[in-house]
Amino acid sequence: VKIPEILVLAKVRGLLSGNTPQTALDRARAILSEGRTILVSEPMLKTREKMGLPSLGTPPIEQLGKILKELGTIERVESAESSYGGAESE
Amino acid sequence: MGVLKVSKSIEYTYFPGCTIPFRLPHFELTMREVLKNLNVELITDEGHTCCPEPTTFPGVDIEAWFTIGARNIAVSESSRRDTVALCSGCFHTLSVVKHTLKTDSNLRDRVNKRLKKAGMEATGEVTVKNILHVLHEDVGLDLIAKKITHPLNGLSLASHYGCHLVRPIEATHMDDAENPRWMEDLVKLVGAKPVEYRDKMACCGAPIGPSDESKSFKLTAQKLQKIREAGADAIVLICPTCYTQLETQQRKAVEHLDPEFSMPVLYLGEMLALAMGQTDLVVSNARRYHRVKIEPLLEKIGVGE
Repeated sequence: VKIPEILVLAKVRGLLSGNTPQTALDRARAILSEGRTILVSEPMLKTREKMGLPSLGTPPIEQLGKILKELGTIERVESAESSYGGAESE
Repeated sequence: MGVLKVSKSIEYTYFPGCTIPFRLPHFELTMREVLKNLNVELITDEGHTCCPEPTTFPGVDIEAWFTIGARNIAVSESSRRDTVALCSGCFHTLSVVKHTLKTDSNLRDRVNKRLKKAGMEATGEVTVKNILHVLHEDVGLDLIAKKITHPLNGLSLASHYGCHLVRPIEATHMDDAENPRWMEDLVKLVGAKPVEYRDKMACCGAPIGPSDESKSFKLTAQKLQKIREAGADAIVLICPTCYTQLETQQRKAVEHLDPEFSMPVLYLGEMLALAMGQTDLVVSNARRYHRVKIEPLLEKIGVGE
């Protein structure tokens, strides 16, 4: 067993027992709904434009959603959100 | 472990990620301009999504982490160019997913079954690089040296690599897992003095922030103190998360130690831009993106005199 595998297992157990930090769930939720960890605002886009940086377009959310639906990722995040902060004994 | 010899390329597929393009766009701006000066172009592909980020998402759903990562690898593979990620977290995710696709046929089959429904396939054949691969290995130190017009003589710079850029070395193909030197080579090349400090490979503290902010800042303060004790004028780094922790959050991290503490932090692209005479790129964005003043550094190298 490799050490990173133990760390990932610890994270997964944390999720299952309702102890995943809210920030982690928020980030996961943003990735699932926006394709990015942050919500891109109009001022952010304007700053890029002013700097002469190219447009990055909009991530293909529909395609991503279809792929993740099969995995049950959305349900997993929702379930973790509903149990957040509890189930220490699990 | 030998360093992977990568093919020469003038154009790269640019993997933008989330933090650099929208929160720290001066990273992208300075590096794009520095690379243009070196005849390197970054080509954007709108098909990419979040990598996904490697610190928390694997704990939420590791299979989804591999699948989204593999989807991004598939987008890169269709471009037929080497991919470069400026963000260390993105580089980590892409290089680990790519490595796993190559070495774990079970995972590759599972992931590709899902991608097939979107008409995609990821083989793991694409070359994923970070900016040190591009600068140190592809462009080469000789060519960069020719572009240095304003050497940063008199500056002492401490390189901070962070956790995600270097390890695991079988996936990242960096020079050394315990004591990487590529960033120090660039510091030396621009005329500054590379500063050696204790626990160079220690974490900046950011990844544990969501679980325990106080412990996270304790690690940050320890790192900053060790760098100051070693006599550095500033830190140079690549990772946007480390930048946010060591620079943007510096005041908060050191307030209980020394309210007067001040350690400027430069992004690698800024350091190179200054040395290549592209000083406006750095100066014009300094106030907006640097909470710790960099004016003392600029004065020391004669910028703005």
